[in-house]
Amino acid sequence: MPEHADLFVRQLMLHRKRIYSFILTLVGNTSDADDIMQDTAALMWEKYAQTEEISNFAALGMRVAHFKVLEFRKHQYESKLQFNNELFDSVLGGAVIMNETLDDRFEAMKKCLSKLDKKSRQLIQMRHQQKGQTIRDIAAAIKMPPHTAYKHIASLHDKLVRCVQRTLREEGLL
Amino acid sequence: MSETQNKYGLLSQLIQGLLSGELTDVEFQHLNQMLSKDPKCLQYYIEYTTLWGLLDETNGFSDDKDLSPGYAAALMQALADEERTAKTITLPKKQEPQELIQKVERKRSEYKINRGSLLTIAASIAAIVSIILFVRFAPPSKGVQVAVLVDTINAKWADVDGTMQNGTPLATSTKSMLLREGYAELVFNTNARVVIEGPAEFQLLAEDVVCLNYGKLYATVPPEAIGFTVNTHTAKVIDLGTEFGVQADLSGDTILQVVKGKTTLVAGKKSSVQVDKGTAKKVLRSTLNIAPVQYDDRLFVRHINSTTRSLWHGETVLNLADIVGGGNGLGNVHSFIGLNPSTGHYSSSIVQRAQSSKNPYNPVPDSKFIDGVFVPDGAQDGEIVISSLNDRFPCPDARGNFSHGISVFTGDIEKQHKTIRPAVFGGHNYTDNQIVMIHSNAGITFDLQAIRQSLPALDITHFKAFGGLSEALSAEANFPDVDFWVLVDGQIRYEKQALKLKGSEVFFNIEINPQDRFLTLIVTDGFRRTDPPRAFPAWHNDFFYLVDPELSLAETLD
Repeated sequence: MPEHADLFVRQLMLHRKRIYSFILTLVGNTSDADDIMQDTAALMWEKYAQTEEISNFAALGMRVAHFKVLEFRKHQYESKLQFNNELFDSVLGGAVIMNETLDDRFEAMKKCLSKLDKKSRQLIQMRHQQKGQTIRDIAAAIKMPPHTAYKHIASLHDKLVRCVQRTLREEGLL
Repeated sequence: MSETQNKYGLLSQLIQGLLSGELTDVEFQHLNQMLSKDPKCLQYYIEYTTLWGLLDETNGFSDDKDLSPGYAAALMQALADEERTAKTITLPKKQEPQELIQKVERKRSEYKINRGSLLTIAASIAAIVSIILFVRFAPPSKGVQVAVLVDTINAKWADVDGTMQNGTPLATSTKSMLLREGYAELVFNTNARVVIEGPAEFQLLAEDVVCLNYGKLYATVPPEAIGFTVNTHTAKVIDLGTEFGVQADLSGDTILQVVKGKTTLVAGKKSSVQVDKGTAKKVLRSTLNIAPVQYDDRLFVRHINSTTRSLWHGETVLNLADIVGGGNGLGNVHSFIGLNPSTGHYSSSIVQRAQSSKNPYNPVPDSKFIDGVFVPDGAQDGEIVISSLNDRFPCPDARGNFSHGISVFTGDIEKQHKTIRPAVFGGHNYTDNQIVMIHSNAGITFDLQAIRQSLPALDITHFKAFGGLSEALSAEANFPDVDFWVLVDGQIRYEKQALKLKGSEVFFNIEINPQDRFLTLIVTDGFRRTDPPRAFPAWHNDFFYLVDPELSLAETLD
């Protein structure tokens, strides 16, 4: 594989979770976020192939991602499940600030995951390991009614969010 | 369970449902309302989805790897393909989600990378109205050229290796640049344009990020450079398609003023606010609070031009008196300046005795905006030269003599020159104003093209003034009377002939078009061959004044 392509892939892998998290916050849906991530990567490759020198890869990624999200919103404007422009702007502003502390949050998330009991950790992994896996599949695997599994997984994520907040505060990062 | 726990418990379920595509319309509206009305719920949403994204990308942190092997392999395969034909690589298809609760159908797409479907990059993202650019992730590469120094006025740099001339490339660096005084204009690779006003210390971090330690900076950001960011000790300003100025004090306080468009202002790491056109905010270092402050339209220098020594703060009019006095129109006349129409030279004194001119048209070497001056005399062949491109005008027989010439002044002129009368109209003596005095017989032509080129993307739209023969002139037998013309490219746009003391006021607001090149003002002595003999020459006592003559400016539309 050409050297510059290899370099691009490495850069993308390094910054992908930052760009993906950003997209997911803006569109609020994992499937749409996946699609937009693909389009973003494609456009970034196109840009990269033209210049071969990007002083800030992550910055470019965020910029292109935002562009792609706005394109997506334009095409989906009739969808009811889309934030209005005012709310979207607020989410955008918050997502930018959030991204600034992403590395700290990632470290805090690891610590918080380690504090969960084994079963809870496995549940989180099941939820995220295969994005296409449904609650019904997970519920069947753990022998729990789907609605109960749904609430339980939501509760676990809530715990993680509050744990990350607490960890960052304790470390003086918030 | 407390009310708060209930609220966030519900919110967590709603967000999870949204992320999974399993939310009903009603549930979505409920979520929408919570996020719109409660900033804490909005913050929670952002933290939740960010966490979800991290977990997705790390497979729930199950194998401590940051990438999905399937995705990476597919990406590398796609990139390794030849350019000509696109190949589609289909990865394991996602399962269709089962209905858990009543939900709205969402479109699913195949997880694929198709090189042939890669879009050609649209260079312009001008369609994006509100976009964020933010960035400070991995430190940018050092020593990467990101800008060029394009112009300076009185710039003095400290600790600079080598010269800092126009055209000097500027690279990212860990070292700050110190502009001790003067002004510098930089153009970035992204086409963002920045004017720095010294004393200032700044650092170029990337092609779209500048760190301003202290000083003033004005940024003009075109659509393709949206997201340009300025950092200070206390704040971050993220462009959203705009022009804005940032002032960073040595104390650490930051002032942001948005002239066009909008920006996001982030104070510290916590609060952020959108700042729109025509507003200004301040971030205090001590508290990191964002507070509104008085907007000052002239606070920042927005454009510099070393050729014409122009420092443009956003002025929308040019002072023609300043231009007559040899300036660039952005300043004011402070003392008497005389311009001899027979030589084109400036002087602090005036020609009191009548003189004639040897040359039909005289350039003014000390002014970049005056095309030339002349002493009109239509007696010779009926037409006189009024521009360097040989435009001509059929001037009346004006004898070809002049006295006092052309001058500009302000204040009490009689204390400066006893023979010049003050500009009095409607009983008011205009001592606080900028006065252009043209005594017959004299003419002056301004080069509008040169004026336009000295300004950034601005057109001259009008020329306006009022004036006439001053009421302070004596109404004796040597009564003044003049003919006054305003010409554009040799064509009359305004005229007042046989102007006498009574009813001598002139007022005009002449439209100037983008293609107009020369603006000419002529004052002749009003002599007519049919006039009865006079005790004094026709050009005697012909003090014609224009009060605060100005050229109006407007932004170029293209």
